[in-house]
Amino acid sequence: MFGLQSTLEIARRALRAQQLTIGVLGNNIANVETRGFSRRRVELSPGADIMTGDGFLGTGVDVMGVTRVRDRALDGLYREHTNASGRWGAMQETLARVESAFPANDDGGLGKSLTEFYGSWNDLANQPESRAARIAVREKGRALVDTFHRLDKHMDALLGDVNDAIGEKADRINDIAGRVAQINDIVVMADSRGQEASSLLDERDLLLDELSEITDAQVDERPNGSVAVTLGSEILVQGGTARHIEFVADPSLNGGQHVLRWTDTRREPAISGGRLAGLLEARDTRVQSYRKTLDELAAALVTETNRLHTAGTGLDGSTGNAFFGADGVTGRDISLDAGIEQEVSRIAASSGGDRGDGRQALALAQLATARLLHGGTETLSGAYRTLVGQIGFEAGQATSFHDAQESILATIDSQRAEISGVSLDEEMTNMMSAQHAYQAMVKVTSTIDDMLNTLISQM
Amino acid sequence: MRVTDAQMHRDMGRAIANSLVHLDRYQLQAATGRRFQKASEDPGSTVQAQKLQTMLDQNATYQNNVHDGLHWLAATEAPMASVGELLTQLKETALRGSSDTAEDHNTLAAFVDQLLTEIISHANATDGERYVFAGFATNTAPYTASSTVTGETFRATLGAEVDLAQTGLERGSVALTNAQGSLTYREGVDYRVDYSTGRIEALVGGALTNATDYRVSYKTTGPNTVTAAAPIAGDIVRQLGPERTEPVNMTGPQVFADGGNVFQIAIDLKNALRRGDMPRTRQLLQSIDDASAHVAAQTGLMGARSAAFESQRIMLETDELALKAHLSQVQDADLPDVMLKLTAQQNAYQAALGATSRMFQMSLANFLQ
Repeated sequence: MFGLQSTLEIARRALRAQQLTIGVLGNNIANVETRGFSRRRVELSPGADIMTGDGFLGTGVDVMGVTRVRDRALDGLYREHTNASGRWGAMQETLARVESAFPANDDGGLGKSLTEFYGSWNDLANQPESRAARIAVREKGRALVDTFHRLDKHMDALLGDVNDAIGEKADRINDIAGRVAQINDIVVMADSRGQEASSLLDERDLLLDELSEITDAQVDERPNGSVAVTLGSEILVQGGTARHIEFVADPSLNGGQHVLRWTDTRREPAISGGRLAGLLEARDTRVQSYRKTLDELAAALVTETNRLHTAGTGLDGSTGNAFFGADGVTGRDISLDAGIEQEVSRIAASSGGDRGDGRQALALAQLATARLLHGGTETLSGAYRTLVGQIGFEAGQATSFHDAQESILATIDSQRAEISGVSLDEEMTNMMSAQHAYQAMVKVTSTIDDMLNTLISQM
Repeated sequence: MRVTDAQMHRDMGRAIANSLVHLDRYQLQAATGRRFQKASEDPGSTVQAQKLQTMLDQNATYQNNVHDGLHWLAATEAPMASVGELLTQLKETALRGSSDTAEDHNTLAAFVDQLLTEIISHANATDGERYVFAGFATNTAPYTASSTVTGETFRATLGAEVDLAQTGLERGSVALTNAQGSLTYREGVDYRVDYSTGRIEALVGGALTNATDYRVSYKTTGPNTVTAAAPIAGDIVRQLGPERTEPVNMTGPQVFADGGNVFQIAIDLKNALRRGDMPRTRQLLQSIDDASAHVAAQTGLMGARSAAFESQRIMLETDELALKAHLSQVQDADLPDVMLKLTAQQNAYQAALGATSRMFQMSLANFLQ
């Protein structure tokens, strides 16, 4: 027997289901532009049939729950590529800043300073008696020293900023790990009640996306809804607990270099991807190597210039004068000799001692084309050009790798949006159908009401 | 396939941003005229452009050196040419002095004095503050002339004239002492001097003793010795190319001594003229010829160097043009091409903006009541 009361119950459940649907649709529409939001769907299923004398009859609609529409495989792919993109992005940003100190047209660059320095020696060779030409040599020498210092300071500032960025990223990893652990707890609790904590899952996915951009974290989803996150081969988050990493100065390293380490074990984490890997590689490999080249340049310049200069005689008859300060073996320490700073007539142009003898100045000017570096294969300005080329090449490579990863990411992101994103047209269509279903169900209810009325009042 | 709003917004945003990146690149190319602004845009060309720029700077230095060298060569060659002319005049004077129709030899000798003074001033020629013929010692005059003789020893012969070393003595400049310098003698009483020919006679009845050494000091009307600052040496060079240095100077000895000491020849000539020594005068004619030929040859050498510098200058200028052309090829943007691309990119950008604005106007919501 299928009574009117039963039909009224079907109507009640259907109205509730359509109301819920409208609510979820409204929530979807409200979050149409919310980053990390996955659209929700109300899972409806037909109510279980009951057996009557008239046969199996339906019992309306059941709400099974509200679920997120999301493709886990795309999440994995996205994280893999955001990891590579982060690494090259950080590298590209750092190298672009290095590059800015090495202009392509070499205006104000070291190459120009070297050329002008040797040019001033050539002028002195042409007028070895001149004090004015010596003042020019000293000025060009100062400019050269300043250029070395400027490049060195630029690298220093850059390394400082890179260290700051690494520190911030380490803090961010700790924040994310802590929050993911919290969410894990809540998700497991909801899961045990058979529910899905959708907005928390969205938040956790967004955090894990961000974590993957920072470092090469591996995410492993457990059947109970929690995620385990590993960094290198060590655990960062498991269930409701998160470990900490810290960025501290290690006095055992050159100049108290800052290193990343696990707070509990004090071991360095193995980081091979993400922005952190890019920053660490730029700091420990790339910038170090550029700096080493500059130091080699400075050392060769000082040694060769002083070797020739000490053999010459100054305008004041003094001999054995150094031109550069003897301690100047790196780009940071290079300086003019204190005696030269004080008195330009100590600058030696003469080989034999006569005032009109410019042979020593000429020998110094000829250093411009002398192959002093790398086993006599490269001139100083040639080595500098090679460095500019190297920086340009590495910066360009980082840019193109980053661009390639970004375009892959854009595709994956678009695919994710295709699945999880909100389409307003679709939501409105669904809303119209839910509205019509609701209206129809109200009609069914009023019909039953009429029928019951008829039954009660006519009896 | 579903298309969602967020997807469309993000894709459109990316497309517009990319379009803007290209637009920015072409605008920068058009504004700077350079194909690349940063080394990373084209590392190979950057290195090549910097290398070419360094070569251009070197080239400018070498051109500068050529100009400077040409100036030095001219400053050296001009006094040498003048000395050549003076030597020709010296030869004419010697010829006139050696002919039988003797003119006034004193006048000729006085002319030789004048020529000598001029030669000395050319030997001490300066360029700015630098002595041209002084080698590396450019701050020291290479030659010093003197017109005094101090303590010359001669053996007196009573009643006969004895030749002193020089002729053309200044009247009243002669002082005569004994060998020890303790006694001074009186002119006109103890001895007599022929100022023009430079001869001295111990007077009979004076205080001088026959066949005894005395010392005489005097002044001559012109220079009687020219001393070279020792040592005059040094090739002043200019660098004209990576492996090429060339001297731009001549030292005094190379011009005035290597073909016979020009100063001594002139001094000898005026002495010979004043004493009417024809054989010596004729002998000196040959010396003048030799010295003159030497100076002419050295002047020619300087001329040849100037020519070499000129041809180097032309070569460097040609190099410069080639380097500039190459540099332009490496780093300059192809402007017409860039302008075309820029226009195309502007259109693409506008189209992207237009499409976006039209897309946002479309929604089901616009059609529902």
